[in-house]
Amino acid sequence: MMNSDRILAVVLFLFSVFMFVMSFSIPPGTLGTGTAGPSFFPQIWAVILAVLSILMFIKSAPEDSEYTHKGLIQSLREYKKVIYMLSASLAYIFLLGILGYIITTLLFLIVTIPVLAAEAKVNKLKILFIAAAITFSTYVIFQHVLNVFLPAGRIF
Amino acid sequence: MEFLLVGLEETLNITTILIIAGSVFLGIFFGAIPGLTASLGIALLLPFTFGLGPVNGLAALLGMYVGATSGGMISATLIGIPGTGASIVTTFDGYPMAQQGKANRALSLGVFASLVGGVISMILLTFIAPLLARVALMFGPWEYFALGIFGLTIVVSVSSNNMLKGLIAACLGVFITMIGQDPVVATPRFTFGFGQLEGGFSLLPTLLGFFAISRFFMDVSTTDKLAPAITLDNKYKVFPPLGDIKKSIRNLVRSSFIGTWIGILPGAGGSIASFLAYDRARKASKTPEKFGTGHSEGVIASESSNNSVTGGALIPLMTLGIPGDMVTAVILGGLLIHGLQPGPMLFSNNAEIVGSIFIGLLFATILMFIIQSGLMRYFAKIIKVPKHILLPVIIVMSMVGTFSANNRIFDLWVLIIFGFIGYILIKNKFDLAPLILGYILGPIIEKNWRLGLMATNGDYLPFVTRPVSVLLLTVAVLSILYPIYKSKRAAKKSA
Repeated sequence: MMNSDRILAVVLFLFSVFMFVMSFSIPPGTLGTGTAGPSFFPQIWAVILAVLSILMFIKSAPEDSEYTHKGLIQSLREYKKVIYMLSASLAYIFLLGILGYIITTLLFLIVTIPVLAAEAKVNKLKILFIAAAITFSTYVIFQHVLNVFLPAGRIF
Repeated sequence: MEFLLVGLEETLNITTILIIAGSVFLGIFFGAIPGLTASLGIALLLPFTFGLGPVNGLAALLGMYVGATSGGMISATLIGIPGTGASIVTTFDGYPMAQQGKANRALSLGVFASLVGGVISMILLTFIAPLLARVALMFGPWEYFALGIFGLTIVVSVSSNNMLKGLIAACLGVFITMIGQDPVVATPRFTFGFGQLEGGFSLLPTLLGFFAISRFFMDVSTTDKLAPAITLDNKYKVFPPLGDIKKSIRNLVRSSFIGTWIGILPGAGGSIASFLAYDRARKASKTPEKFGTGHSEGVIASESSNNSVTGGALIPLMTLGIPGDMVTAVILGGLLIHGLQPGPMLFSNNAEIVGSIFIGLLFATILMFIIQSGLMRYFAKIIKVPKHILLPVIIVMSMVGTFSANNRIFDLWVLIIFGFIGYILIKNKFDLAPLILGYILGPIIEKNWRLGLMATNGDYLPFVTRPVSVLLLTVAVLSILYPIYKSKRAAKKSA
């Protein structure tokens, strides 16, 4: 059976092979060649990583995995939440340049706070209040106290 | 020692002192809340110090460092959960003391021990750093290459409970730095034709991604049910009972020296220092059986040693430009961002900065004592701030901080992707400290290897014939082989 450590070991191995192969297309340096050139270290580290990932594959015998013991349903539910958070973060960055800091942050907080507060059972009004408070206080602090440049958005 | 006077001149003004006080305050907050660490606090603060200039900016980072290191004991004492890794040992005696109704005494002793530890390590820093810097002036690329390797292996062998995963994490950290221009002749590597990648992955999105954003993903799956905190009564005294202090002067001094020494060694941080100091204190005590049951000597040993790590950890950072642990790796980033290159030249080129770091550290320690003593009753309450308020603030701060550094949306993508990779690694029981050190040390290792070879026209011999270089490389190899040998022997014994 494949546990998560084994899957990761395979991914790391493939990554190191990819980096090793790609390192041959690095243009040779003007100063220093061979072991003093720009492609020597990427190759050395790729070989080290490949060896380490093979070791990890061997050492992570399937019975060591926590995922074989833990309920699969539980980890699936957890991953669903993580994917949700990941999508929310990516959407935040995407929208930041369009809608600007205030609106995007407010939206982002409204969709993420309920997930973070899952156990605490916070009601909707309170979530809205927390999101608004965080958005406006950070806006004032960043923009007017710390003079940090915030994206203003394109549509306003 | 005239750099101390210059430093005093730079630091002794209302603005700088207020900045230190404010960041110490924030630091105590970060330390006291379980899950928020000194490294995270410093990384979050970093982008907002750009506008402050080097003296005030570094003062803010040092204040955060000192505050967070000491603030960890508040939750360690009141809820039995260490606020930071460095205060694990404080829970051994601090929490039992609080349960016996002596929370005030435990906290005032802890704050006092933190003050003594911080001051002693600052004094040691002032004496050792300039001497070491003078020696380091003679170092060439060969020594720096060996130092980089040494730093990386020590970190991997000490800070990770799984050495293989530690090594892999360090490798990944090095690979992050491979993307972009190479450190010697700026040849673009692994950019796949993307112009954005040519600049490489900068420090802030990398740090904040692995520290802050990964926690954001982690915390959607964990519940935060904390034990009810033990409340402080209103008569919180600033000074601990004199009798307790008198009895433990030896303990205070010994633990502070241990902490400073551990701080100097790469890789070992506050948690190892406090374990060692606690062990020594128990062995030297007339009543060793009382340790672990709420004994004041235990709190003193732990808190003085973990706070004295701060001064010690700055020694290799400032004199060699090699960070000794996670926190100093972030501070190194702070120095670089302010255009300062840590290393022996810092002492001759920027004596005023060196002086102001020393004095700033001293001020931060004293202010930490004043602020903690004065506001302890309020700090005792903040450890219960709910996650759904705290995390969104951290996320927003990471995003804004990352964006403001270069005004690049690209950095935000990097931030989130690294945060997600960090999450996967933490889930698979990887330690992220070696990864960050790989990120910091990778370019140092490569650059000096290549400069060394260029200087000798491709002759490898100086790496193994120059005494300092060969010594460091030998220790590096041993630090990897020894744990393997030890575990093999342990396996044989149990078989």
